[in-house]
Amino acid sequence: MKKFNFNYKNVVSILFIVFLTASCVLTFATEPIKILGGLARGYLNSSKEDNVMTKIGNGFSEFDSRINEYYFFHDLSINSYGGIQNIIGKDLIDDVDQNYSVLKLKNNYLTFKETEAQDYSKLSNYLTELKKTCNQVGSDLLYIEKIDKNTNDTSILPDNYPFIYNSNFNSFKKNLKKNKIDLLCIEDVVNQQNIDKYSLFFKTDHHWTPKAGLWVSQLISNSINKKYEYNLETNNLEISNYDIDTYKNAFLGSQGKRVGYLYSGIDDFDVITPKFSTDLELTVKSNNLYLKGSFEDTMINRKSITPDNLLNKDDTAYDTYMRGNHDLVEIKNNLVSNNKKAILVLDSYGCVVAPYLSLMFQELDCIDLRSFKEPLQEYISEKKPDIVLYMATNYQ
Amino acid sequence: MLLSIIVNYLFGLSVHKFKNDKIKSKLFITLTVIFNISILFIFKYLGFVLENIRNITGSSITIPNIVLPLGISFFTFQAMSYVIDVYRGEEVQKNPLNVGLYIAFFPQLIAGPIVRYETVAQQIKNRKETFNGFSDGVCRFIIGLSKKVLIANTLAIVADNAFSSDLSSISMSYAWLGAIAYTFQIFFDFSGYSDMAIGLGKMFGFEFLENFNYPYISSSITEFWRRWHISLGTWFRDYIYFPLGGSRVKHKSRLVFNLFVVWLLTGIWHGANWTFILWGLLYFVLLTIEKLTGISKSKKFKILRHFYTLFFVIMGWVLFRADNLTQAWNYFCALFGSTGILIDNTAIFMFSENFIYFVLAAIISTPVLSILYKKYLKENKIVSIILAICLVILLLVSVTYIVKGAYNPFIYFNF
Repeated sequence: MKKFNFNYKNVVSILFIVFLTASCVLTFATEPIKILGGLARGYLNSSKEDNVMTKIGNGFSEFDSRINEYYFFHDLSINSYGGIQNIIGKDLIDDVDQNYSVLKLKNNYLTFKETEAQDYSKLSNYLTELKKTCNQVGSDLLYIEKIDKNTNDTSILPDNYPFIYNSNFNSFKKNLKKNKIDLLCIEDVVNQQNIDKYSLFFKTDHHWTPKAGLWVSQLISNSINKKYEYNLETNNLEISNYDIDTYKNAFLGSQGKRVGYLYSGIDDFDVITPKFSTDLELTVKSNNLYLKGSFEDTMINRKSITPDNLLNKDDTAYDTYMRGNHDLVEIKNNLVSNNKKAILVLDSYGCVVAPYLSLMFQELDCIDLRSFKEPLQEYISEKKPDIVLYMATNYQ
Repeated sequence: MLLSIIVNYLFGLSVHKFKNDKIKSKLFITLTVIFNISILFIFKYLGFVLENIRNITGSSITIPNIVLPLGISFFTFQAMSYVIDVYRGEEVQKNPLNVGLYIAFFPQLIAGPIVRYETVAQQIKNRKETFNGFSDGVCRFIIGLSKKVLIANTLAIVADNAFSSDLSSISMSYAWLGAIAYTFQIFFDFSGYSDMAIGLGKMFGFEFLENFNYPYISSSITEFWRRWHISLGTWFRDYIYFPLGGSRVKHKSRLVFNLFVVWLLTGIWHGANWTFILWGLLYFVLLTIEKLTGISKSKKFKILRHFYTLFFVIMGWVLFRADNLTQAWNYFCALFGSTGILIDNTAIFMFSENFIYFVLAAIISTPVLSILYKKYLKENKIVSIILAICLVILLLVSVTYIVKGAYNPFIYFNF
């Protein structure tokens, strides 16, 4: 009988070479400029103090990270990784940066593992100063405490989950009261109305859904009417006055992108537009962007919905609303004549709130302090709004 | 490294030229050792020494900020090995590129194994690349990559979390889980790198000696060091321990002295920190006891001796992993229940989350699979196909972990 001579190692080595070659060729062939451009970008973005060798090192570092980012099998790899973690039964997917480790709750919602306690002390001091400015210009100030996915609820957390979420929100609350700063705490409302707070969120993202955004804008408007008697047309924020287009399996949030949809699942994405007529002007000076027209024409950009490219880091369906995050977005509502001007200090959560809130005011300026460079107090003094709505935890 | 290659190349030529002149060749070999140790001292230990002088004397010496070149301990030892082996009669390299190839051969440059010149002297000129050798290398590389990426990196999270915990409130079980996780991490990390280096070497036609041989199945510390980081052990044995007289000495005090020198240097080699020095001295004490009592040669109480070995190996890794002696002490206290908390949710959660990795690590740390394969499966065609599929899957899964950018600590910065 002929001796068995199948050498499995030869087969493995051929497949190994094929895999490496395919990875290299396909990756470079798909995005050659972006990848090779990383060399120049890393070099040019180095600080002036860096010597030539450090700059070259930065070039290679950027090149390296771009290869990883544009790796041809990137999406397949991330999804496979997530699928493996699902099979193993992992509830916590660690990340190089522990703040971005993803935790799967028992209700299948993903959240970030909070490693550091939320500290409100500096924000408290900042708001105290801001209140003085508002008093000087005659503006009202309402601080809106966002609701997030963080929880210490053991019925939702994985069994024996040991990492407790901490914050000093209660002492912050007392400070607000002491300094006569009005507060709208969305979590309190959710608890009072016995709402499942996770219904406000995407499963794969830390943000609120557009439906929740509309609901929050209604909550804020009602609160303003109650506290300051503005008579805002809050009926216009009833969901029955809106058309809802649901894009099935069209959104993978930032938590989902980290672990792949075989682990996280995929969210549907709603585009919610008013049934009533609208006439808005939207200006983003830093992007040379000026739009005029209906809510759909100005606030919505459906091109951001890319269900075929869910893992793309650059595009996200969330940017459908307000075209994503900007330092300053100025919105004029030509069909509202209540003469009310508002400034909304927001972060990314505000993207699905601001469009609906803009239907309540004649002018609404949305400021993201993560990129807004001008001192906020000066801006308030200059604009003299009727109200400053502070819905962020960032400060200057 | 370039300086090291050029200077050691010249020393090699000089030692060879004066091989019949004992005084001159000894002079050059002495200069070789002084040069290499000086390089190592300046880059690796100068800051540590000055810091200790400053702490002891209270003086205000400025500590220079010297960047530690990656793998300096590995390539310096290889460079010394070259000149010493030429002195001992191995062939000298006339072409400086060959010396460069030996010292800077990329697969084992930053994480070993330390390749002694005598073991590859012939291969530098006369190696033979074959497809079967290449294929062997690929398979070995994939196994090493998987060990590092899938097991070591995953268990590193458990270890790092435990060691960075508040040690005054950590539970005893979590402290043990962290120590055991680190025990597996360092083995799979280090042996994974060695597998990759050996595999890459095979792809280029080199045959490097094995660096690990299931060290955690040892039933004595002596056996452990015959199985752990073999290239370092044999380096110290051949270039330090034997020249000092080894164990064939007239007085036991001399044997103890020889062991002390070797293990002090072994500790220092691993890093400029008191934890490494103490770790080396721990092994000096254990090995001295074993040598003097003959425990390591005994065939009785094998299971008990296995536990004793693992216990001290784990204790050693705690010392090795700790950032400083205070942390090491606090961790030891936690291991023996100083916090009064036996078990907590952290231990249960981290264990259940990583259960499969612990099980895999425990199985692969032993030769069970290798024995099964050699005894029953080697000639089986279906098994070969399954093995090929498994290796390809391991490669692809490892790539998914790398692309995900999962936790990937590099633990050789000190070496």
